[in-house]
Amino acid sequence: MSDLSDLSDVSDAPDLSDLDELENKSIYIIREAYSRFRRRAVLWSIGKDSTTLVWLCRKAFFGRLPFPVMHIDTGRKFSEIYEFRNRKVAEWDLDLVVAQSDRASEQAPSFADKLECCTELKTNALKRAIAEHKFEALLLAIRRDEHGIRAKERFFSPRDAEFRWNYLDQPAEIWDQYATGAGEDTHVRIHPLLDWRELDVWRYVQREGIPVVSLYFARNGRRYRSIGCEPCCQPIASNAATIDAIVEELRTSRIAERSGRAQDKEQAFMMQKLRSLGYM
Amino acid sequence: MLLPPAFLPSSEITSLARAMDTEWLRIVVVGHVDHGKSSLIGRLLHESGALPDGRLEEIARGAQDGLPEWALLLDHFSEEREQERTIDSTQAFFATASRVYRIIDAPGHREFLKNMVTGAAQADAAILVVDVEAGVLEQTRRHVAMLAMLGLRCLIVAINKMDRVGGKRGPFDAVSSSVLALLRQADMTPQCVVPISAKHGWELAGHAPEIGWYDGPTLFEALDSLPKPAHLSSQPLRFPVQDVYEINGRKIIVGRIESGRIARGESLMCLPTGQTVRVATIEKFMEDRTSAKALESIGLTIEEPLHVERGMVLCDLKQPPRAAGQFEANVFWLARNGWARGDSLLLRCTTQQSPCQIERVRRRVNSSTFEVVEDDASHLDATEVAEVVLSLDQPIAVEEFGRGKPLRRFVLIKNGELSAGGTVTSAPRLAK
Repeated sequence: MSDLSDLSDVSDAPDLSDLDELENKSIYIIREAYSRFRRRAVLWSIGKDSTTLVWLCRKAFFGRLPFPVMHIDTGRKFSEIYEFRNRKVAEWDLDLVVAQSDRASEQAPSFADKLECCTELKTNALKRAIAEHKFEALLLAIRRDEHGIRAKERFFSPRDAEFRWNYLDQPAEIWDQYATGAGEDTHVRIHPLLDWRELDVWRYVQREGIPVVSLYFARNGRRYRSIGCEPCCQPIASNAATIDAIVEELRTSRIAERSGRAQDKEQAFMMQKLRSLGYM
Repeated sequence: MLLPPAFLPSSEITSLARAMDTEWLRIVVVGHVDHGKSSLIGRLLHESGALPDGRLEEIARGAQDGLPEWALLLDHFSEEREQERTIDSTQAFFATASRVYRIIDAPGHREFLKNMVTGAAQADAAILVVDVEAGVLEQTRRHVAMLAMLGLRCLIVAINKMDRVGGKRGPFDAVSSSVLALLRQADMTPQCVVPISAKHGWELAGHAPEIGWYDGPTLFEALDSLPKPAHLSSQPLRFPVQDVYEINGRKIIVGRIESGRIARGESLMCLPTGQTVRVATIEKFMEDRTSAKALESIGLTIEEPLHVERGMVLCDLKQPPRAAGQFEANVFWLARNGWARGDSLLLRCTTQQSPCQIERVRRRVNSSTFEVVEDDASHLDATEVAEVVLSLDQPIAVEEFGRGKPLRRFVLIKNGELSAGGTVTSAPRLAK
């Protein structure tokens, strides 16, 4: 009988590898988000993490995403990001929603500081898009190992109407039972990649052959390790010009991933302030 | 699966490094407030070389005695730093020569018990930290009770702040025996009891001359000797249906295999209806699969044109769980708002859910003293544990004590808030 031979195939099967375990848990969370909410979207910054999240969503739904991908376009992204985005939208048949602040097109906006700039161009653009599309759930590719504040997140993290994160009283989350009772004018942030490390993402990109923007690969001894708006991103010194080389570099690196990101560092507790105002 | 050539190890170094990364364990650090949980984790990150450049200097700045304040590595909220206490659980990573550790820091205050449980519920094993001077205190006991409720029995005890007693054996032995007595009450046996000083790094990565009398494992050695969690694939199949997708006219049943495995062509029981279905195909995007195993999120199609929906459970035909509308359970109440007779609750167990009532509270127990507060109680307060009888509007598939975990664990939702967790102890057979 065919089922008996099939069973013997797996009788000595090893446990899932760590990457398989991460992938399967993420797919479970993505499907849970889809099942528990009616209006959802995945935030896609076109960076390696959110591109991995879009890849996992394609796996979860057997090829085509049943909800839109949203790009928060500050008008200050690298040109490679726009080219990559438009190519993949066509190739993967994505339903793209672009969220943009009215001030994104200003040539030299006079923001007082980076907190105000990030809040206006990212958080407020997102607020407007959520209000317009009435999204109840947003999937985001943040990870615990990026920042100590993100490390404290839940997989399902409610936000109130003002986008506030009540981090001092987060819901209990046990045995894969997640908070879903958001209520009017609120939404839930869902974090399927929360458990992944930077190295895991790159090993997964390597294993799966996930396409990423060329900014990550070294040119003339420098590469971007974390990508956002062009004015606030600094490349790191690196000769890693391929995915294999990046994986090797990260195994031994002692430099923090977001060391090139200016908005985290302007003031003490900057990330906490940004996030409590609704930042990702 | 179509793999790019990059997947193949290109050199011995790459394949060795891959092997080093592929095993990991999740460890929660629990214990009373101020017994040094966050400090221990901070120090472990340092000893294992996991800290990025500049972080050590950052936390050493402003330290009164010149020694770094290790807890600052974990306590990132401004409120946590001002109040010098952990509010929510967090996670950090480090690797030893043999595996990767995901370390979960759990807050020690009573008021943050739901955060402690959120952290501990994700762990494979625990480190219980006890201050050698202070000994077993209220949250030491409560955390042990919560570990027992969560079914987390793989444990190392770390007796901390050994520098305060000059590394002496006497105080260590005294505290150690009271911890062992406490664990016996909870029916738990630790893998080992290690005397440490998180502040000075004693007995973490290497042996400390100050504790020369101790000949047991260092904390790193103790961690590396913890067994891996049991292999779930060898248990009977439990596949709770998460959703059903219609793709190109085919109905794909998706979900995660909680235990056991599924093969194409196999016949399965569908609960709670009890119908038999046969697996036509196993679906994973861009993969051609004939079988799948525990913890895989998969899709499958069945041969019968049956209605299948979220909350049904596909199971092993010969060893099915029990469909029950009423069962006995232990619950631990986490929400600030307690429970009172008549409250309407929603029970969730994997993807199954049903409105339910606590029919009876046989015993209401203080989770720190383990004393029975009341028999036949009509209310429960935050942090209390209880033996209860639950009755559900719709029967669900559950497992009794001693059987597989996934269908024994449930949570209770009150007013939209996850308020309690629990485990099934016994379920009567449904009358036919």
